[in-house]
Amino acid sequence: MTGLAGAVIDLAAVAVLVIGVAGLWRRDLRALVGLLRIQGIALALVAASTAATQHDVGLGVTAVLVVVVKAGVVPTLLGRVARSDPGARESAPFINVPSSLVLAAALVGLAVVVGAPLHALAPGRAAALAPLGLATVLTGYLLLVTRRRALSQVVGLLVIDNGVALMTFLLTAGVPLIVELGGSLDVLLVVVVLRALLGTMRARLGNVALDELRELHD
Amino acid sequence: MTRDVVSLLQVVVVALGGLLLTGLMAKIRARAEGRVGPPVTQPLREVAKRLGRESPRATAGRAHGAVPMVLVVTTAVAAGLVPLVGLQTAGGAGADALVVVFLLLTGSLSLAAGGLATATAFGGMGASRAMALSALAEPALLVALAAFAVPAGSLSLPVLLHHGLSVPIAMVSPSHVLAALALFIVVVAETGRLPVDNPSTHLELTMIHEAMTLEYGGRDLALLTLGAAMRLGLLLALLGTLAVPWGIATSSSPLALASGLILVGVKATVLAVVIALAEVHSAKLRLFRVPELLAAAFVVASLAVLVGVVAR
Amino acid sequence: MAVLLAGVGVALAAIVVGALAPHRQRVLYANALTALAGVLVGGAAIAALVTRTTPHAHTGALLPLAGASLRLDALGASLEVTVALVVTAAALFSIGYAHGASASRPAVALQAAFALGVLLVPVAGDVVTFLSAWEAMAATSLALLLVEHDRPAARSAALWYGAMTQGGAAAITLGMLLAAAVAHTTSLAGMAAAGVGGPVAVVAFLATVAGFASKAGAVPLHVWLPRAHPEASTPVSAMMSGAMTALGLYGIARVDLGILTMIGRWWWVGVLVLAAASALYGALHAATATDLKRLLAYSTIDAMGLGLIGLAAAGELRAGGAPRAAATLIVGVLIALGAHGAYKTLLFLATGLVERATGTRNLDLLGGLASTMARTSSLVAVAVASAVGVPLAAGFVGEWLEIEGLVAGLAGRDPGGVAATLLGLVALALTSGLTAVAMVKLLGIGFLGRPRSDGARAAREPHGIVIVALALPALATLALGIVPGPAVAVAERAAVELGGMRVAGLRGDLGGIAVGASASALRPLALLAGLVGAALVFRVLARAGARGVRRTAAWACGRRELSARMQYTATSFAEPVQRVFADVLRPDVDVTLTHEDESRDIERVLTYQSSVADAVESGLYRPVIRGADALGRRARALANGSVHRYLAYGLLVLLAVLVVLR
Repeated sequence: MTGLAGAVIDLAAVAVLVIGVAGLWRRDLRALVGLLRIQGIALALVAASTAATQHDVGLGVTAVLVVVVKAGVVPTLLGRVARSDPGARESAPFINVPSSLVLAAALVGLAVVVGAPLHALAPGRAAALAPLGLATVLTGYLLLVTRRRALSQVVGLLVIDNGVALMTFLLTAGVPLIVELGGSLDVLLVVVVLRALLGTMRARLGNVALDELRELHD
Repeated sequence: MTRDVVSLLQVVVVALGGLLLTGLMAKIRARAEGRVGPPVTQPLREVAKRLGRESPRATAGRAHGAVPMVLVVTTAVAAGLVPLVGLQTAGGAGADALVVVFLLLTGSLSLAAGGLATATAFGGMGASRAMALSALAEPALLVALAAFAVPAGSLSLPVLLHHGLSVPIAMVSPSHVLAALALFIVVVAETGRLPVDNPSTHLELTMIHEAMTLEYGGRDLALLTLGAAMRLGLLLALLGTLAVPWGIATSSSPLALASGLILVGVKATVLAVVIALAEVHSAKLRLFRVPELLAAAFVVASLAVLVGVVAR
Repeated sequence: MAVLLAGVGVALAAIVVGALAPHRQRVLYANALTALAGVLVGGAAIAALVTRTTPHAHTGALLPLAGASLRLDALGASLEVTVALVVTAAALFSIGYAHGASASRPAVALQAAFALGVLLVPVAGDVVTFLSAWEAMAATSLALLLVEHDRPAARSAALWYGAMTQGGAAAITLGMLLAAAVAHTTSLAGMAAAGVGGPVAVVAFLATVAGFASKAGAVPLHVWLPRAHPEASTPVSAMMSGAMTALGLYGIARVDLGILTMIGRWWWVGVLVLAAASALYGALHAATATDLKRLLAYSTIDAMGLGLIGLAAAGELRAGGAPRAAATLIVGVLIALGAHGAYKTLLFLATGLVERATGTRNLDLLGGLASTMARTSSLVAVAVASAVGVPLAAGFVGEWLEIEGLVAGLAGRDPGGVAATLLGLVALALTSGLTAVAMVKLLGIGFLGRPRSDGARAAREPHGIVIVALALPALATLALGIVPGPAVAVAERAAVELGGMRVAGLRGDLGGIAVGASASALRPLALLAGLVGAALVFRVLARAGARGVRRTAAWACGRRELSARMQYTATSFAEPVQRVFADVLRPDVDVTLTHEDESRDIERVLTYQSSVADAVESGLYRPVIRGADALGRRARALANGSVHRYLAYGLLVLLAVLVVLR
């Protein structure tokens, strides 16, 4: 692996994680969607650099696919949802922002400790980065668990998905194209369904915060 | 001998540069808001003017009068210690990052004590806020420095920078980039810039740093202004040097020192411009939102250390 | 050795004098003898360190089983210097301070006995001597709490302290006896040489760590500390805080690091987590406390937490294959304990003077002492500088070494080690920041500004030996801060003694300290020269063309009548910290509004009250105590006073024993 491509993979993989953590920091829903878009690009960069160093055409195609789906279609769809409710903020998450950031640091530490054996699954320098994918997954989970807004939870779900994708790129150095295609389409489907659902709910109920839905259920 | 010259040069450069950078940042902000603004040399002139005036002091105790001197002296020694222009300063291996941090901390503590010594409501308010924020900034600061130190295995600044110069690719390693980012946020908070503190505010209730200096005038105020400007210049130059060590003079030839001088000036100016432009587009955070920012700096610094384990 | 034994003899004489002599002579002679004992023992320790010898003495008599054995090795001697300094300062202070209940026969004799106890623990050479000295220290300090037993708070504090200290002593006894049984010797040096491993070592580790940590005030075993320190008389609280808590960490270094060397690293990580929580908890409470002694008590928890972080990280690093970083940490902890002993003794003693001069310990009622008690205030400023880590004061040296050790422990290690070390570093950094809040509050609210009460206004500076007693630790603080090299050089030997450490690269000389192969260095003398030089230059520059100083009224944004009530108080100063950490501190905030009679819209009085109770105590201990209480009530049915029933119990137990031992 050449030095430059290696450095790009390092930086992009770390960027995926850092953007996931930044999701815990920002309250503005539109900013969250923007972060998701950048995360998609960083993820594609990991795939593309790996593809370039290993001359893997399939992975190259996957990278293009990742850009289209994760940095293009999905954020655009979510962006529309966010725009239809301007000024919507994650005003009172279950765990306040400083605590969730400190918690995120702890989770990353845990992922680095627990994920160390992942390196053994595959040779090469990139595989050593795999704990970052695990850390991204955990961060996404934290987002999913602690946020009230439905949209931030969708973002959390997508961060988890991105973390899984990062791990697979780094470990297997080239997922079969069909697998990645299936995964991405699944995510797309989820987003489309959620978007439709959210749109309908907003039309009926006005605003969507999960706590209020609980009241409805009661 | 040359080491002492480098140190003296740095103190002078940091003092003048800090004042000019303060003026430059005010100018950029004014221009961006469509005003002409004061000239860049304005802080310099104000300090020179006030140095010739008598100092009104409201309290009998010695603490109040000693504060400006403690602030300026500790900052000046820190400026002489840190390798900015040349790698070897009068401090030699004693130019340890922690010594610099705690020298600067001594200055802020004395400023806070001075705020309390004046026995006014605003002095106490500023001291209380400044101490709380500096306590919260400390983990981010030390962890970020640790992230810089890990590759070289030493907190000694010459050793650390020398290692950075000998391994250029390390400059774009993720942990280096993250550490620089965390340190950037800490520097913004510690120098009292937006969005943490507004250096140009006239509303006492929103003040942090300025509130502690309200009861000073004349020569005392000149020294305080100088101390704050030196702190700004020093921290920006240090951040620039740590992030991009390239260009610092490794030999003591006049040419190397001159280029080192120019480059450290460029690095600090670039950072100052970035901060000033960011200030134009940001509003002051509510005081109790600042911990969120500092927590973000902390988590970035921790990531810098943890990522260093997997992406060596 | 002769000097050491002479010191012990003088301390024994002090107890006798305290118990027998009439009032005036009692206070003077008993405390003077104790101070002399401190000087002798401290001198013996320094001599042993300088000459690099290990004096030891043994007698078969005196104590049962193994006899008494004294041994002054580098680790013990390093700590003994600190203990001797604290004891000497506290004893000198008592000469000018003790009156009323604290000058009574039992109080003076017990205080001398307590001093002897703390002086003996670091020189104990075998398990039996160690445990006896430990128990003497624990029992006398408990009795000293009860000197003012007519106050309910003192009785309650003694109850808490008694339960914790006796529980701790029991755990330590169990752990050390287990270790001695495996090692087949009771000599501490012999046990260290034998090395203790296996499952027994784990039990011994847990028992001794719990016992020693409770003495060092580690969360959640700290509850006795904020009660006992304010209730004990001033010199006793100084000795408790400066010397006794440090001996808790000494025990961990001696037994857990030195003897139970084969313990796994994850046990140390567990201790590290507790230590981090402890340091942060103490620092947070110190930052929000308004009672001076309570503040100092929590600050002791915080300082001991930092020390425990250092020791736990050292244990982890040693087990994880980084002995150099571990050695740096141990040396750092030893220096930090010395620095803490000096500055905390000074602060406690100064608090006693302030309380006597103003009639209160409440920071919200103090202020302005810098002008009325100028010398005390300057000495307090030295202690505060040391506590917050101002370079050139002793506290900084310890903190510097600890951070250098932790950063060295981050470099080139496995993920688990890095995560653990990072936790230690983060806790240390935040604790150090919060300590600065607490200490600036202590100095700025308590001593600067204007007096907030009549008592503070009427304060007068005390004279005589009490000020000497304050100056002694202040001098030690500055000496250790400016010339730390020799202390580091001898403390390094202590780190070497704690098996498994081969220390190269940690050097100390008159000019400063150097750590590691790549030589991070601390050069306080050069720094001092730089600071003095810069100060002179700026003074000349500022004087040129200046017109001097004019006394004015404070501007205060144009407000003319400035009253002392407009100042920030300790409560308001700590409010931002309290608000940020509200989830941990759970403050009890009460705002009361009363209205004018005519209209509900006009507010007349607004009072803000905020108090921070110990969340661990109310959350963890109260339920346990309630449970134990309920159990006790139910068990009452077992003992209904019938003799036949008691005899039947005896028979049942006898039968059970027979069946078990069949």
